[in-house]
Amino acid sequence: MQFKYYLHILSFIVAILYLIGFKNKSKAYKVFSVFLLVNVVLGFVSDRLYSWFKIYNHFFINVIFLFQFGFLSLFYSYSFDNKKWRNIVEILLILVVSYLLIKYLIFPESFFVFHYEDIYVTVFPLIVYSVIYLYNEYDQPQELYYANLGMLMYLIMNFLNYITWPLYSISIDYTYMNDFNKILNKLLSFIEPFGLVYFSFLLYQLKKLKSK
Amino acid sequence: MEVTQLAVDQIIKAFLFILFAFFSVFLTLALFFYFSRKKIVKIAVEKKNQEIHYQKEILQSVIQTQEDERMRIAQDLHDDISSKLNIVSLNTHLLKTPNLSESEYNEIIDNVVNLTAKALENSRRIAHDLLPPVFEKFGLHAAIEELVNEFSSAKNVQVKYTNSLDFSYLEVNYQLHIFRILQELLNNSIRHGKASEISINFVENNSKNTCFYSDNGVGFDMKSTNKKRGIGMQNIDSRVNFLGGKINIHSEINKGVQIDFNF
Repeated sequence: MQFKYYLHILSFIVAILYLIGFKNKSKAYKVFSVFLLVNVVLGFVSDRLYSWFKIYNHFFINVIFLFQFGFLSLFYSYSFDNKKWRNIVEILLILVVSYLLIKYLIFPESFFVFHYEDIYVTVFPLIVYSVIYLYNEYDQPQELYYANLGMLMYLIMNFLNYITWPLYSISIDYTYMNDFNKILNKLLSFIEPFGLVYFSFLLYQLKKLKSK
Repeated sequence: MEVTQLAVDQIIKAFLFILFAFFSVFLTLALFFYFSRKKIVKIAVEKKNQEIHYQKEILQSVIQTQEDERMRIAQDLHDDISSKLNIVSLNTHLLKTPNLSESEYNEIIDNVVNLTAKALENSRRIAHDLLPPVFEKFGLHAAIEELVNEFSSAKNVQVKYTNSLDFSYLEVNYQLHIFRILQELLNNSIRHGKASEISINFVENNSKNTCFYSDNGVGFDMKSTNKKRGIGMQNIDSRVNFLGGKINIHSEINKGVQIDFNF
């Protein structure tokens, strides 16, 4: 079994652990738990897409990032105490989702193409929210501080991974480009095991919550 | 050739975008570290200010206590000693009066003897109040026992005292702080708490010398008294601070007071 399938199993277990007893938790926690589960399902579907339907999964990243943006925006909106930040998150959520949906409706072919601008608008705001969440810890302890720390690392890694994708997707015969792609691939190969660090933070957060 | 040019354009565009993306992440993190540092400095300054404020409060309470104590000693000396010595002086002057009868002479002498005895007793009591001699001679444990006996016999209160610690290795200053803390607590329990039962227990708790103190008095509301503490409690705080320990106070209305402090 490939390493990524072990990660799917691990992420599924983590999501279930977060879902256990989530009824008594805050809205932010509930949204986060549901996000973890949805993320596992979407990740697994994305990986199996070719073997099931014989279609490439490039377009599916748009679906994943759209869901990720929606769920995590809601999570941060519920987490922020400052009304100004809550409003910014909500307005940006409506604007970005509307923009992408309208774009996919008017230009359906763009839904099946990998756009790094789309990745930028759906991931970068989340990185900013995550950093603000960390900053808020100075004023009062945040419920999912460690999970957010893991999430920030995960988002930055994902962001850099997908944003550099167009570089090695451009087919060109230049040797220096091949060399560059080799280096890039080497660097990006570290991202997959990095998932373990992300899950360690999520599990540590659970341990902290349970010990309270 | 055209295809190559297109690819180069794509690469340049992609590079620029990636550069922009990297820069935005870098800028976000840099801003986070900048504002975090500012916040940390702000929190540290606030904490320092709080400490200074606390030190000022302690100093104020120490000065206030000193003044109160001076006033009390002055009052005691005036009421219990000076007044009696005045009468003694008056009586001794009377002895100079010519043609005193034997009985008058004896009466004056008796008065002088009685008054000097009372003045002596009062001066002993004042000295005892300032520092019990048993404390100097036999140490903290005996002094607490005597304090407990005094309260039990004079103030209609049942004080239970147990001790499993050895105080002899403590510095005299430390012992005196503990003694003063207990004096203050006992006074508070009776004066403010109207307690009829008090318990004092010295034990080793989590490898720290700890005193558990409780009474069955009227207690108080922690929320309303947290903001404003009396000079007595501030003194206790500062004494525990000198001992290098921590104090925990718990109380509810009509549920007495439970206090523990370590040293």
